[in-house]
Amino acid sequence: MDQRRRGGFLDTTVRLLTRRNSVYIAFILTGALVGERVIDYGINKLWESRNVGKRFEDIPSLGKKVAEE
Amino acid sequence: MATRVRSTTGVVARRLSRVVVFMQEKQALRTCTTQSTTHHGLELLQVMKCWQQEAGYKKIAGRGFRLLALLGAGATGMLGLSGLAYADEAEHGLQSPSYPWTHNGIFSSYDHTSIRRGHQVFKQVCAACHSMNLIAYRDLIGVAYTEDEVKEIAAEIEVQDGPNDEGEMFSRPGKPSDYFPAPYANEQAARFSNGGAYPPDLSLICKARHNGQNYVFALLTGYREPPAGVSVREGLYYNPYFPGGAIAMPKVINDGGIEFEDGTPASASQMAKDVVSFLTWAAEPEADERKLIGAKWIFVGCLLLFQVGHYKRWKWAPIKSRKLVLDVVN
Repeated sequence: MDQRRRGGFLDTTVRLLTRRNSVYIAFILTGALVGERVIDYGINKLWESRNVGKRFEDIPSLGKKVAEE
Repeated sequence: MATRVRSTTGVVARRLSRVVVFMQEKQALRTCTTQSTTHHGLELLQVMKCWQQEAGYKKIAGRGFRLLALLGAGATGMLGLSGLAYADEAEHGLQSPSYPWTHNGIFSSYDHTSIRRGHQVFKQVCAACHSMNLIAYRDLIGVAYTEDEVKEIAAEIEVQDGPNDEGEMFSRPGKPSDYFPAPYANEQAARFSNGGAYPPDLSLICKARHNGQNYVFALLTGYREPPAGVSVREGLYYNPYFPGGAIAMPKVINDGGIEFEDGTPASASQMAKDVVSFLTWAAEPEADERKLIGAKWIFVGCLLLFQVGHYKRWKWAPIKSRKLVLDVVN
C-alpha cells in the first residue's frame, strides 16, 4: 500500500521524541528549563537595547551622596 | 435593498433569521428524503433537487427579519448617540494634554535618574504638606538610590518608636524600613493648616486620577490668571485642570525652586516632569517588571498557540477528512 514516507526534519524529530513517553517528558522538562533561560536572556537584551541610559545602574550620580560625607 | 447594518440587535436578528431558515431547510430535507425512490446513484441528486424546490420560499421569510434588523439598528444608534461623553469642563476640568513620557510603551522602562530627581523635588517641595504613607525608604533601594544612600536619607528624620524596656516611648533616627513621614498628625490638622482643604496622600495619585501622570503634570504647570469674568475666592487659586477650576494649593513648582544634587538646571517643567516620574513610579513600582514578564509570556504564549493549534488539527484530521456516504434505501 503506502510506501514509508520520507521523513523531513520535523517529521524525524517528532517521531524520535514521541516514540517513548519517557523521552517526551524529558524533552518537555529540559525544554522548559533551557527555554526559559534563553527567552529571559533574549528579552532582557531587547529591553536593555530599547532603554539605554534609563536603568538604575545608569544613574550618573549613584553613590555620590555617600561619597560627599 | 437593505443597507449593511452593524448593530447588536441587527446581528442577533440576522442570526435568528438564519436559524429559522436552517430549521426550514432541515424540514425540507426530511420531506425530500422520504419521497426519494430507488436507485442509489441518482439518490443524492434527486434529494438535492427536491430540497431546492422546497426551500425556495426562504427569500420571502428573510425579508421580515431584515426589517427587524433595520429597526434594531435605528434604536441602537439613537441610544448610542445620547451617551456621548461631552467632557464637561466644569465637572472634569480642562482635559490634560498627552505628554510623551519616556516610560510610556510596552518596552519602555522608567527613567531612574528622573525618579531620583523627582524624589528630591518631593522631599523639598511637596513633603511639607503631602504625605506618602505607602512608600518606605527601602523601596527606593535599587530604584533611585543605593542602600547606603537610603540609610543616609532615612537617618535624616526622627521617628517615634515603641516602648523601650522601661516602658517609655522614645524617638530615634529613621531606618530604611520606616515609611515616609507624614507632615501632619491627622486629617484634621492637615485641613486646619490648609484652609479646610486636605492635601491628598500622593502614594497612588497617578492611578487615582483619570489620566494621572498627564493630569498631575498639567496641574503643576497649569497655574494662570483666571479668564475675564471668572473670579476665585480668597485662599483659592485658579487652575483650569482642577475640576471646578479653584484649587487650594498655590503654585509651588517655580523656576529655580530647588537645586538638584546632580546639577540639572531646575526649571519648572523639569521639576514637574521629574516629580511626576517619581509619583508614577510610586503608584506603579512593578511596571518595569510587569512589562518584562508580559513580553516574555506573551511571546511564549504565541509559540504555544502554534503548538496547540497544530496538535488540534492533527487530532481532528481523521475526522475532518472522512467521507460520509448517504445510502438511503427504502
